[in-house]
Amino acid sequence: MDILLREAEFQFPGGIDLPAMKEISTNDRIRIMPIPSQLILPIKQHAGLTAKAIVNVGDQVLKGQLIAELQGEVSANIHAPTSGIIVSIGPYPVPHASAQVSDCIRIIPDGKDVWIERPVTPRHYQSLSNQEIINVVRDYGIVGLGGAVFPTEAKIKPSNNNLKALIINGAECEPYISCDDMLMREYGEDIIEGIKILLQLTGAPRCIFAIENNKPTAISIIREALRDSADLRIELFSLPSLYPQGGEKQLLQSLTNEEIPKGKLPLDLGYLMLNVGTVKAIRDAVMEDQPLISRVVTVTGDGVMHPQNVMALIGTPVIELIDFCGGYKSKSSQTHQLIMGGPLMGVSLPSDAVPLVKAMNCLLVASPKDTQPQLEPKACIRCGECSQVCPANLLPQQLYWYSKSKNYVEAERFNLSACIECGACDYVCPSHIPLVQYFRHAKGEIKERQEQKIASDIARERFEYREQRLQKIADERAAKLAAKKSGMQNKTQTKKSAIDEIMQRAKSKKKPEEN
Amino acid sequence: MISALIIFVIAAIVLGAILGFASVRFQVDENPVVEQINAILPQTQCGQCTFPGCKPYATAIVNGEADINQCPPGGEATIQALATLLGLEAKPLNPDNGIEEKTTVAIIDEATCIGCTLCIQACPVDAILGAAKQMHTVIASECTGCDLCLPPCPVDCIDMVEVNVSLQSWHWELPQTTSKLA
Repeated sequence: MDILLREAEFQFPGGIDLPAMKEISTNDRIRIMPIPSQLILPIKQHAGLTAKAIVNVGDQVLKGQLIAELQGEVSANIHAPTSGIIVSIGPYPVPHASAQVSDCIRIIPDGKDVWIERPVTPRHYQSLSNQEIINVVRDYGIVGLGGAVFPTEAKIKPSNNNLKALIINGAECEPYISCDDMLMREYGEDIIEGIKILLQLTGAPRCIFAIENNKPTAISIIREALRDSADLRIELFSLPSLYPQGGEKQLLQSLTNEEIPKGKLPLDLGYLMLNVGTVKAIRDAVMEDQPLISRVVTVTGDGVMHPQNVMALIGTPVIELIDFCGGYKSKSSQTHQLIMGGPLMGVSLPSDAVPLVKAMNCLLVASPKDTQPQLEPKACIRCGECSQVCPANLLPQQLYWYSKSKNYVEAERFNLSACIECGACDYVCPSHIPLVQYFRHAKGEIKERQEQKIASDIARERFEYREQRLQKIADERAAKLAAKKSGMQNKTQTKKSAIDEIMQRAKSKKKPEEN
Repeated sequence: MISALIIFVIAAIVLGAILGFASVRFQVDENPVVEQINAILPQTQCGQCTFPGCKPYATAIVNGEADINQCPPGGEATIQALATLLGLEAKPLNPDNGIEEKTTVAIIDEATCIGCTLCIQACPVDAILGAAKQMHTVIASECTGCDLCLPPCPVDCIDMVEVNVSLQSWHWELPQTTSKLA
């Protein structure tokens, strides 16, 4: 039986053709990094609510032990990546665009790598109920590993029966990044097994496995694995390499020609989309009871000695990751720039002290060769290139004017919130205007104002309630006072009338005497 | 001729009665614009606008007694929203009323607090918890940072602290450019 490799029939609007730059990190197999000297685990590594630390300084923890517990509906657990001692819980630099510090749990490994007690016998997913699988995904801290780190439980929980298809995203469209490519090459069978678990869980009739055609090795390996698995529900699709093919809205449009309306998710249209790395993590959690304590990260760029993909523990300091890959090419720190993610959507890192987090699919050690020099922005010449390449069919130029002049009502009317911040407009802008940053700022402002509005509504309610209460107290007091007054008056009146009566009686008594 | 007159007189009386009833039954107590303006104002009730609260300021704007740029806690965003609502030109904040500062919350130094309840009475949003001769504390999530609890405190144990930006509340800055064109 041969597995068909189909080509995607449709295409999303816009997009840009970029040099792949992936070959520099795909020469070696994925190397497993030994336990580093320390592990730094931010308690906020995922989209949603921050987890809560449940260990104390000085505690001895085992590999796979829960150290921070999820909070609320959309959140994720965090586990100790190896055995060791908690040395501190507190603010530490984290890989985030804000260059801020955030609470982290720091572990000094004891080197023994002792696992917490786990079930001895390997599990069979066929015997697990849907709820059991969902619980495993939640308990083991699985989040989307494509970069958005959205807690996977929240995505698979509302598994309805009308799911049209499961879509596995192996597009990996951003230059330099190759961790998904390498994962597919080396763990193809595991990924297929993960897909089968998900098909059982969701009851989806089919699965679309989508890979960009600039990864022929990965495609042929997955094809081979599919042939062995003989599961006819899984279809393999190849896509033209065009940035941002891997964006969930773009990928869905390329595969099905369905457009996701603004504010909606693929799930609303009946598609569950997961990244290949996430599928592998789900498989490891279900089959091997392994929490999300490590991931494959592409360490690449012209600034690092040996670009390659590394399987490293979450929490590994970036500097040790770079040292494992041969260190910096140049000793002076001025010549390179550290970026988490790819060159278009990635964020600059403030230092190499920050740790590897669940979101870090790529660590780009960029030398001037890799990045375009940041040129001074010039005036917009209204060339319209940005709207030609926008994959969300927006008018970046209009959004730019409105974002810059802080006219957020108009910006929203031009669907600012539908912008996926892919950076295609930035890339083609001949005036070097940092468009996406304007959009990100405007989005942040809009969100902040909405929050302020909610806060001021609550404040008004509380204020009005207080006014009412004070008024009520004042009224009651006045009423009491009035009652007292009238009571007094009555009293004096009765007294007076009593006196009058006695006086009259006395008078009437006197009168007969006179007579 | 007479019958027409009678018909119209009766119609006038009936319709007049309906209108009269409606004007009493559906009476609008307040100018609805006041409510709309009040909804935009930040509800700190701080009085920096020289009026004794947000709603009095809203009323003053409607009556033409106040300008739209007198609310420092609301700042630029509020002025812009008011300008859009009222069809006016936005203008910079009036410096006589104060300057737009970062959001703050009150914190009571619990060791110094003598439990006099004066701040509790001053707080417009009931964000201070405590009782006579008991230590007081601020419910930070309800505090609007209006500073009204500061003057009554006899032992000066209340501090206004800036709300720290967390990873969740942080957002991107506007691009820094030296060129004026971009």
